[in-house]
Order: sequence, then C-alpha cells, then structure tokens
Amino acid sequence: MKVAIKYCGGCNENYSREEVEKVIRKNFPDLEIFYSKPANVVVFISGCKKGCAFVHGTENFLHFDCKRSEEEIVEEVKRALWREKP
Amino acid sequence: MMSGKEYIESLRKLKPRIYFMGRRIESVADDPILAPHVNAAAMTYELALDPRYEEITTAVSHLTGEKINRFTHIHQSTEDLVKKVRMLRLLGQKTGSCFQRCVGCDAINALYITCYDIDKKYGTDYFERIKDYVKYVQKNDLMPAGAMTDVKGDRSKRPGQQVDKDLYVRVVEKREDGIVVRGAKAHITGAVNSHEIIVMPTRALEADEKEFAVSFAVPVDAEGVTMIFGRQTNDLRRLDGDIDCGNAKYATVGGEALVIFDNVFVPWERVFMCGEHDFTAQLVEVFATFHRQNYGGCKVGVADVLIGATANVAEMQGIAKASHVVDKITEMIHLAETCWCCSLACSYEGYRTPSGAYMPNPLLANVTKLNITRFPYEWSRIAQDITGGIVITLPSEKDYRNPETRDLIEKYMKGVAEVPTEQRMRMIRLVENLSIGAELPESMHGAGSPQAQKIMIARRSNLEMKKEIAKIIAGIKPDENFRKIRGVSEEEYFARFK
Ligand SMILES: Cc1cc2nc3c(=O)[nH]c(=O)nc-3n(C[C@H](O)[C@H](O)[C@H](O)COP(=O)(O)OP(=O)(O)OC[C@H]3O[C@@H](n4cnc5c(N)ncnc54)[C@H](O)[C@@H]3O)c2cc1C
Ligand code: SF4
Repeated sequence: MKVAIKYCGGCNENYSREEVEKVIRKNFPDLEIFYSKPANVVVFISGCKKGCAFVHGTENFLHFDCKRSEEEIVEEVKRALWREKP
Repeated sequence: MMSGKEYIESLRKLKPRIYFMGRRIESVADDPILAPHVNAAAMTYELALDPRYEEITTAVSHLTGEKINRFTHIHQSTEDLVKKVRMLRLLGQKTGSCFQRCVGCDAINALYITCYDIDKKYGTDYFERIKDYVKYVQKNDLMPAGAMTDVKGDRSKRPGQQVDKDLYVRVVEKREDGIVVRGAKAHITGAVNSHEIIVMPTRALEADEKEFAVSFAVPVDAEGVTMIFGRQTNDLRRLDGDIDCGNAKYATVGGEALVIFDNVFVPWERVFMCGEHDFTAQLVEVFATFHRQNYGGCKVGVADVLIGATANVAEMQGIAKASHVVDKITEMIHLAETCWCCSLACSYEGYRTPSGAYMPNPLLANVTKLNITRFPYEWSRIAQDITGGIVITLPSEKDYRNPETRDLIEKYMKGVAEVPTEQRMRMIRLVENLSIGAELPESMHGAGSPQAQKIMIARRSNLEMKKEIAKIIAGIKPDENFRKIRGVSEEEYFARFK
C-alpha cells in the first residue's frame, strides 16, 4: 500500500509536524511512504489550522493540523487503510 | 534546483574581487568571516529540496512550467505573495539571521513589472530581456544581489549636482553592443556570495538626469567590479570559536558590501532601463514595496529565535515563572506577531499589475517596514532586561577554554543547578547577538530609513477622504445616509433640540 505524505510549508508550526510522519513510519513499517507522489492514501500534515498542506479533490486522505497522540494518529491511518481495502 | 552544498560549490567557481580588512578574499565560500553568511544563504537552497518545506519554498515557473526555488519566482497571485512571507519567516527561524536572497527576488519582480510598462510607453524590448534573464536565473537557480542604494555623497544635492558625479551609478558610454557604467552601490546584502548583481536607480529622477536612470545585471566577477566587505560589530569573534558570536553558523544580518563599478561593460541584453527617467519613481516604489513587505516575515522569524533565547535564559536563571517575565515575553510575542500581521495583510491585499505579476499593497507594506524600524528595538530592550547585565559582561570563550580560568567560570557563571554553564553562556551570547549588534540598525535602515516609509504612507493614504468623513460626522457637511435612515435631513431631525 502506498502512502504519500504532503507537508505544508511549516512557516510557523504549532507542533512538531515530523512527529506524525515518525509515528506512521514506526507503526506501519510495511507501507511504502513517498512525498507528493500518487498513492492510495495521502496524509496532509499542516503546521496549524490554516491547513496549507491540504489539496482539494484528493480521494482518500488524512489531514493533521494540530498535535495528536500516537494512538489517534495510528487509529486514523488504520481507518484510511481500511477504506482502501477492496 | 541546487542544494545548499551545490550552491556553496557554485561560489567556488566564481572569482569576484573582494577586499576585507586590508586583504583580498580568496574564497568567499571558505573564508571564516564570510562563511556564516554563505551558510545562511545556502539555507534558501536546502529548504527548497525538503518535502517538509517545499510547499512554500518552491513554486512553478509561469515562464517554463518547471518547479523552481521561490526566490526566483515572479509572483502570480496574492497566494504567492503570502507564501513568500511565510517562507521568509521560516528561514528567519532556521537561520536566526538574514539569508540575503530576498533582495534579488524583489529586484526581478520589480523589473518585470516596470519593464512591461516602459515597453508599453516607448516600444522598447526591456520586458523580453527581463523575461530571458528571469528564465536564466530560474534555470540555473542563481542568487542575484539587488543593488539600489547609491553612496549619494552630499544628500542635499541631486545626482547631477554632486561635485563627483560618480556618487550615483551612471552610464558613461553607450556603444552598439552595450553600455559602460561607473559608480558605487552601498550596503549591498549578500553581494559577495551572490552569482549576479542587479543594479537599479536609487531615486526618482528628472529629465536632465537620464544618465543615472539605468538598470542592469552583471555577474559578480564582471571586469571592473570591486567589492569591499563592510565591518560588523563583533565580526572578528568568528575567529575566536563558536560561543562568543552567538550565532556562529549563520552570523547576523546579511553581510553587506560596497560594490564599485569602475567602467563596467554591460551588454544590451542585460540592460533593463537606460534613460527612461520617468519610470525611475515607479521602479523604486515597486522594489521598495516588495522589500518592505518582507520585514514582517524575516525579522519576525529572527524574533522567534530571540524570544526563544530570552525564554531559555529566563529558565536558566530561575526567573521564568515570575509574573513580570511572563508578561514581558508575551509582550515580545505580541510585538512580533503584530509585524507578522502587517506582512500578511499587505500580501493578501496585493494586486495584479498590467504585466500579470502581482505586487503587495504599497501602503500596508510601508506600514510593515515602519513598524520594523521601531518594534525590534522594543523586543530587544525586553530581551536585555530579562537577560541581565551579563548580556554585555560575560567572560569570553577563550577564558572558558583556558584551564586556569575554566573552573572559576563554570562555578561562578552558573545559573540554575541543572543547566550546564556552557549552555547558559551560549544562550546569553545568542541574546547579545540578536539584540545588540548589527540587527537593530538593519531594522532601521534596511529597505529604507523611516522617513522614506513616512513619505510613502502620506502619499498613499487618502487624507482628503479622512477630512471629508470627519466633516460629515461632525455635522459640517450633509450626511446622505442619515437622511435615508431617518427620512429627514439632519437639520430637520435636530431642529427639535434647538
Ligand atoms: C544591513 C543593511 C542592508 C541593506 N541592504 C541593501 C541591499 O541589499 N540593497 C540596497 O540597495 N540597499 C541596501 N541597504 C540600504 C538601505 O536601503 C539604506 O541604508 C537606506 O535607504 C538609507 O540610506 P543610507 O544608508 O544611505 O542613509 P542616508 O540616506 O544617509 O540616511 C540617513 C538619514 O538622513 C536622512 N536623509 C537622507 N537624505 C536626505 C535628504 N535629501 N533630505 C533630508 N533627509 C535625508 C534619512 O531620512 C535618514 O534619517 C541596506 C542597508 C542596511 C543597513
Ligand atoms: S499550515 Fe500553518 S505552519 Fe503550515 S505553512 Fe500553513 S500557516 Fe505555515
């Protein structure tokens, strides 16, 4: 399963955006993770509620725009992956 | 796009003539005084390749469709203008310094807009030339310096009235293949570690001052170009280790040079204005607008570092929880975010010019910069207040490294017990670097002295309109809305009270 990570520019992030990526990589070692490439799931990571990372029209996506716990991130990713399953 | 490392490598291929402290600089990339400025500029390259930042550090060229570094972009929307200031704040946070590349970015944008208008009036081909030049800059991911400020000699005299006419850059010869220019530009940020220099006139010029109405680009190592790198407060501390500078990796402010053009030949394809004096005011104003837009971005990014440093010092000295300290740090944040609001506002209020490129709102851009001539003095005052006298009396790194005095410094320069003395020293030096040295006069004069902004603000705000509305509210002039709301004139309405 391919997952694309799309970061906002991070001009003044309110939390560590990289934590989201770290959590995903740690908990889902079998996923193929790319930056800004076509994929089954796109994970938008914005540094604040302005949400600059988000691109309208994306089918299966997750959007993080504030600090979330590891469990929450894992749960959301699992749900998105489940949506992709045939 | 180049990486930071490739940018540094690209500088090694150039051979500019640079002097500093009585010696010729052999390699800009490797000289210990200049290298930190080079590192700061390299950050503009590095972050463009990082997926965590590329959303704001890159753009798609409207000329080639290629992905480019945003510093080489011609802004195509207000969103582009906003992304530019977001990028500047980010870079200020990552370097705690001036990364220099915005001046060239502002120069190509100002020329793009102005050349289009000159061609419309005179049928010249400057717009095609600047488009070709922008493509060249984008393709090679170049860093051009922007050189507007003339040395100006006697400020009470116009360019042509100076005893020595070379005190404003001017055309001394026109040839079939190009022009020859002479003069000097002062305080040019990042000039020594740029690939190119873009020259623009410094002020609005009259019909008898056509020789000074000149804009062009040359490589930094063009024949006849000499640069004398300017001194900064505490610059030689860079030779003393990595603590005393405060910011050993990225220095402070951009690193400015006096750039002298001694009969420099410029081929026509790199000339963007030659005698069109009636467009000098526009070029200066558009460039200044772009440049003043920046300051609530980059300076606020640097302020973020200073606020962080001040909060760290407060913790390291055991005063972080004191209510006046919390209040003062909040005040620093308030001042910084106020400047950020200004940069965002002038960007969101930007508009499309006839060339198709977008520029920020000039009134609000000038307000942004005028605030920057004041607020950094206030947030620096607070940083110095919280840090204490140690901000200017801290023992040197050399004494800290000296076995004879090290233990004494370890013992007596300690703050709270859990923080190593060296960490406290580093943080104090960072506060010193950001609140005392070159940083403040740069806020004052970079992108123009306060009076230049006052003039623009006065010119751009509609004072007559404000006088009119005051007269209406005071009942001196009729209020058409009042009649609509009450169905009678003000006179009739208030007659019963008289
Ligand atoms: C750190 C730094 C970086 C800079 N980077 C660049 C750059 O990259 N490119 C660039 O082109 N420029 C750059 N500048 C130049 C900057 O734009 C100028 O410093 C600014 O425009 C002021 O000009 P000046 O320094 O010559 O001061 P002056 O013009 O001498 O001003 C000093 C005072 O004199 C007043 N004054 C000047 N002329 C008159 C007059 N005719 N009548 C009445 N009062 C007058 C001013 O209002 C001011 O109060 C930089 C400056 C600094 C400090
Ligand atoms: S989402 Fe927030 S932190 Fe990220 S680029 Fe946009 S404004 Fe900056």
